Amino acid sequence: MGLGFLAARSAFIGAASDEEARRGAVARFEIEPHSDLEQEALAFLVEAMGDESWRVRKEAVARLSVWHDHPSAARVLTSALAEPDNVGRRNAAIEALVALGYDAIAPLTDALTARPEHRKVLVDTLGLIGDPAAGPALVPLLDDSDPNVRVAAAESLGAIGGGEAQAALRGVLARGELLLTLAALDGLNKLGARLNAAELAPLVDQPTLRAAVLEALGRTGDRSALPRLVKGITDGARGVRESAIVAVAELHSRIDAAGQKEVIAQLQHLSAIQPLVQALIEGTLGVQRAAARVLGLTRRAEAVRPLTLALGDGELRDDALAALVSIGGSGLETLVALAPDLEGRLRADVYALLPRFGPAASESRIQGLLAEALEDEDVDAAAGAAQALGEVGTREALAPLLRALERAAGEENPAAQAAAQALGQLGLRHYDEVRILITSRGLSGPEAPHLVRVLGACGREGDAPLLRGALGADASAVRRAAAEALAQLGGTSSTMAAEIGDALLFALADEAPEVRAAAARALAGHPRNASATAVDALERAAHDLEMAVRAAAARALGALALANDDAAAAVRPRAAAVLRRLAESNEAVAAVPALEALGRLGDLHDERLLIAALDKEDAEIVKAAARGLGARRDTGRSREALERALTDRRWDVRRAAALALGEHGPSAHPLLYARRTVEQDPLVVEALEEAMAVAMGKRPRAR
Amino acid sequence: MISPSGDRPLSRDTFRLLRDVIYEHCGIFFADENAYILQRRLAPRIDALSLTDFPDYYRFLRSASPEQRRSELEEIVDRVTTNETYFFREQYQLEAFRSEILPEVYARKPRGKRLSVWSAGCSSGEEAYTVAMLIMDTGMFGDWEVRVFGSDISRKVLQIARKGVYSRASFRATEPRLQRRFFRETPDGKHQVRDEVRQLVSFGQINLIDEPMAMLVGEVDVILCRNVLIYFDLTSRKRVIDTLHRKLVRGGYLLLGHSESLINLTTAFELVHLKNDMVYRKP
Repeated sequence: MGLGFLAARSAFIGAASDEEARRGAVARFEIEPHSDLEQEALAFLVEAMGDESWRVRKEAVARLSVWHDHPSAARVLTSALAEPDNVGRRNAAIEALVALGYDAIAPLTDALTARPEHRKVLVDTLGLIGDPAAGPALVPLLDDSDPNVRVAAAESLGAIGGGEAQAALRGVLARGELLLTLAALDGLNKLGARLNAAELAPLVDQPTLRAAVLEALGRTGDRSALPRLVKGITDGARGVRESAIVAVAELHSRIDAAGQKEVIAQLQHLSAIQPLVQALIEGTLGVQRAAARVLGLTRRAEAVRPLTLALGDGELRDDALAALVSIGGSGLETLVALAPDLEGRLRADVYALLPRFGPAASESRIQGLLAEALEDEDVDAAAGAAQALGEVGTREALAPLLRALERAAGEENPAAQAAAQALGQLGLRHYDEVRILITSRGLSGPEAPHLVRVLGACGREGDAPLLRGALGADASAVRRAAAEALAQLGGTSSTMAAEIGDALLFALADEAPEVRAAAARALAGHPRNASATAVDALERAAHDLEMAVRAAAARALGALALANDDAAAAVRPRAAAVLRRLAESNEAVAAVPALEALGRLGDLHDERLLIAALDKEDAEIVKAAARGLGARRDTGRSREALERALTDRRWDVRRAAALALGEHGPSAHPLLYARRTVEQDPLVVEALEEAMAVAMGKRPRAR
Repeated sequence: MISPSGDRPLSRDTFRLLRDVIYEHCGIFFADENAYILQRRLAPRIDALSLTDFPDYYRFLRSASPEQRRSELEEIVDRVTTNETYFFREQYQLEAFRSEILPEVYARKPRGKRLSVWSAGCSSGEEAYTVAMLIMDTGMFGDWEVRVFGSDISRKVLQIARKGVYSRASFRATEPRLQRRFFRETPDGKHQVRDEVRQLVSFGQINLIDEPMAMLVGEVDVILCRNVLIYFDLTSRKRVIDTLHRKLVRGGYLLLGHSESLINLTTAFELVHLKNDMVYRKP
């Protein structure tokens, strides 16, 4: 409950030894905007910002950050920066000014015109706010009489960016002031400025500047920088080496094909790759990724082992994979020799990688290695080998894959699934052989579900009768696989489509829930099978006892309601009506797909329903409603509703609301920006920044 | 999106939601860079449960009945904690155990002829049996009461441990002499730990951050806790180390994985430089 300001101030003063009471007094006082006490209240908060307790200071910052009159608060806070003794108050004032953002710039720049003693603090604060509007006030300070102020101005210009800032920073590079030049270079690097090699060349021999210079050289796109960069890879200082590595990767990405060849040629003459390997292991993520790329560019076989080990790091996998492939033929040989000694999951990665070496992977030697690896004791490794054979395997791979399937079937085994998928892929290339193999074994036994899936992957209408027959099999696993396989058959005649539809509808009555769920999913994939009967059956399935069936049925109804197929046109309204009923449920399993589908349908009358769902207790339902609103045309009502969701206590709800608002275009940008200034959660911050870019058209919309 | 395996991509927000569910259940923490491990290990559960994708899987975990939820969380724990292991893994450290730690314990306890060792995070049992075999191989403890406790959070690997039957991959670092002495071949070409070794070893399902459960292990002379702390965040690691400290006798030893250390976790142990390895000791 709120306190009057005067009461709160008294309580604060009287609570000298009670931190929580002081914090509460700051947090809870209420004051009318434009009241006579407003200035006193501001002064009180500034006083509280100097409290000995960080909790009290934090509370004062929070109050000032959201003060209704931003400019007034900013003026008071700017004055507080002159505080010579209370560092806590000064730092708190900085924090509050940064939160106020753009509204703080005018008071700060006004204060600078008087050239006060504490102008460095003002400059630093403008840098932290990071708005280019401060640029004109900062540029002249590059010529300030105080060298610390000059450096601070360069740092802040590097933080705020903009064309004016870049030009000003470039202007100081040739001055010969070491620290100022370093600050300017760091700022230009942070801004991603593209300088030219000639203006950087005089600076590279200065040890203090070298790392920053090399980083900048990487962005010049100038081949003449290459020898200096390659030399930097073996520098004695770690920071210089890492900058050189990042710069080489950057340069390679910016220059033309002839230049890229030159990069590769020069790297092949590198005396040792050890610095690159060290950076791969010890660097920050950006350095590690660059090191992986540059190791690939060396084309050296000895780079294969460290890159292979890097596959085990989720954040480096893609770069390591690409680098291994780029090493080419000698890399393939080394990989093949290395594989047996690696741990299981790395062997899996290596096998799965082999197809990317192109025609070399189809050589009989590699095919033999992969076939043998199907018997690897590690199931992930065996699955990796199967995956590779699916991509590059020849006819000769069929029998080993089938044997692998037979060995592993009957268990929930990734090797069996991978072998089945591989057979499916091979079936697209060698259908007749695959079909003979399957029909000669018959669809019984533990491998039967996999064989059924293989037929589905082959996608031939001629197999529909066989698969329909499998829907009546004894084993539920076979029936489930048959439903999934029927969903994959494309290009069926209308007669066949109707027969498949009838069979899948009947499968919705199967006693095994996994079969019912698969049948529902299959119906979603076949809008040509849509009928009023199907919609009614799916609605019943959406109330099934089993969660997986309910979810699949709701999703299937969503697919029917959205289908463009003419055959589905008659049932779309019926499906939509069912979705509306499901969307009002409090159970996420059915409500989520229903809300998402209604969102994409775009019917104005559903807006009320989606907005109401934002108030549900279940976060999953709220998120689905947000996504649904994001998929629709912006209306003022939906934007207001999403704005409320932006302040939800749950991070995933705020994230969904942010992404949805981004789809609503420029009108949502101020809401997103305001939230961005106070949001702390990293995933929500990321979503807000993404959403702002989408809202302003800098990135494409999802719809 | 996190790098997909197959066609089951795992977005960063769904990864975080799943990670939090797992953490809340058992304290195991997945750092962002290990998300692809979670994705790879749990993707098969989506098919097994007839679900569609990871968001569906997360909703299932939230909406399932308490029994279903508990069962699925057990399944998750089994899948995310299972790692490749084998007998006599990390030889240098085991050499330190055999030739330096065991003799020191033997000399220190002339009267109290009782030796207890805890393999905390024993996985499918290879480490616990290895410890028992090394103790037997020294020949020093024939008339002692020797107990080796093997514990793990995963029921599935404990079942394997109790059976004591292993295939070729588990013996890649085993001397033939030791294999002949401590194993017998089974009709299907695998090898089973001999009864004389199995009698020394007991297994139990213990989550190391569950202190009451960990207290079921009595005081021990040596703890091996190798490549287990990596599963926990900093707060949980400190709790685990505190528990292990309480379970050790004075002068007892703690052996961690070669890339692990107690820096930033505790100062309650002293670092001891043995000839073959560096280990921690409770003063």
